[in-house]
Amino acid sequence: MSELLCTKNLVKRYSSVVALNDVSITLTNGKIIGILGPNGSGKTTLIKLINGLLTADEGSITINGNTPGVESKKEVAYLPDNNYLNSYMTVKQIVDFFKDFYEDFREELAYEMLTKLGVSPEMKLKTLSKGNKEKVCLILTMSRNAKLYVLDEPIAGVDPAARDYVIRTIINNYNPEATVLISTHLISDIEQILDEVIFLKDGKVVLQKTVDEIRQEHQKSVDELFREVFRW
Amino acid sequence: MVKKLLKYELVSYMRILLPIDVILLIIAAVARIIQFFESDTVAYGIIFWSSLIAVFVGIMACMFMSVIVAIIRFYKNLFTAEGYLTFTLPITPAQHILIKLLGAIIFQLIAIFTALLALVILSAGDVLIEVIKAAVYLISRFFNSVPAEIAAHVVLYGIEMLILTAVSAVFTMLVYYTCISIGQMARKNRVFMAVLTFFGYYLLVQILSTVLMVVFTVLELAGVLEPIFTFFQNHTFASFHIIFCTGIAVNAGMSALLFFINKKIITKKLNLE
Repeated sequence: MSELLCTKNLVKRYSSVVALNDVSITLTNGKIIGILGPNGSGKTTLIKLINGLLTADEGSITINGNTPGVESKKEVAYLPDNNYLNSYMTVKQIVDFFKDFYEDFREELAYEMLTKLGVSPEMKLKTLSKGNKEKVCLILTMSRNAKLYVLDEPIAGVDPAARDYVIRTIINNYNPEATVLISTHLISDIEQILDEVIFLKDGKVVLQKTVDEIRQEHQKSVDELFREVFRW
Repeated sequence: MVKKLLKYELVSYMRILLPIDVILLIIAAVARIIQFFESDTVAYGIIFWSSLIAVFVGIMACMFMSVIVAIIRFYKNLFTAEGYLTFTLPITPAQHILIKLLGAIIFQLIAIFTALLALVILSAGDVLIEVIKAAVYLISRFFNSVPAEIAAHVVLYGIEMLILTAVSAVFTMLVYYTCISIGQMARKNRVFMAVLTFFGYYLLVQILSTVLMVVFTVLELAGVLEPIFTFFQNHTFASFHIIFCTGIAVNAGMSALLFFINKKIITKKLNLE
């Protein structure tokens, strides 16, 4: 398996607060990886760095050999943890927008998922419920044939039924040769789909192992190990 | 990619500004129609003047809104939640700023054109045709009566003034953009910080202007500027070219600097909500 994402000695500070401290991780193709940690552990900061929304103070990031920039953005599909859509647009307009800017966007797949969700292309985004807006964002992200999917808290703040929908949408639609990086603190809901996990604590990587390794070495589920590592 | 981005930029401007432009033209047309019912009554006077005031207010609103919408669009599209989509598009920060600038300038030009069109509608009729005929006659008479060299200077002045106006408009927008970019770096009250930055900039400009005026006066009293005044007196036509071109160069240089600052902030200090 080839190296897809590589961070070396990554440091990010906000004034005097160190959000990420010497983070070095390597991700390979074809895996679903959970980036797990409590609030404030640095998950979103790492994700923003991967997506070029922040610049590291020290260290380096490469995505498929490119530093975050125009080339990497063509290969990374990103789902932020908030609603970023222009509310005045219709669903069709936002689909067209994605089609215009991402060469890997699969329009037919997007409409197929939207139809299943019961969202008409002519609907204005502002008329959608909060839950449906989040699902539309997820559909847009997963409709890309990306090399790396970065999903920031995709199941936070949604009901259990919606969580199942989100997980199903991820599993059924990602490019199997790609890697999916999912940040969350709701581990039990997502554990069954993860191949590998990264534990972040106070901006540091405290563990990077496959789920099988955790089960064999610690005789615990990821959720149990998480509770042990991050116990107050 | 840049063309596509410009397309979406213009569409988002059109959503807000096009109705304002259309309303202005309708007000101008109504004001023109009112003139057909001219009478000496007080009621007509009130309606006539009200319609003229409405056109004037409409023109002001049209011009004002083209700038306000550009400022809001820059902030909202880049530094609020929309920024998560904007900055994950495969487009460079420089291209984002360039597109924002282009959109703003295009819609300011459209606002100016709409305002002129409103004035044409308001004064449409025989009088306007006569005024235009007279203006064309006077201009052609001027160019026929002066030597070709002077005519060439006048045409060049016109071109230089147009370029200066365009570069000044770009510089002004970049000042607003820079204040917003600096303001967004704050943890809280980002809009307030942007406004504060603008007032800080305004204060700095006032102080620098005063200092320059004092220096200029002192140098003038000391006779240091005498050779420059003599040059201007002896080369009147060239002097205006120098003044316009210096204005263009200063505005272009400052615009380049502000563009670079914006690019740097967006690249290194982006602070999305």
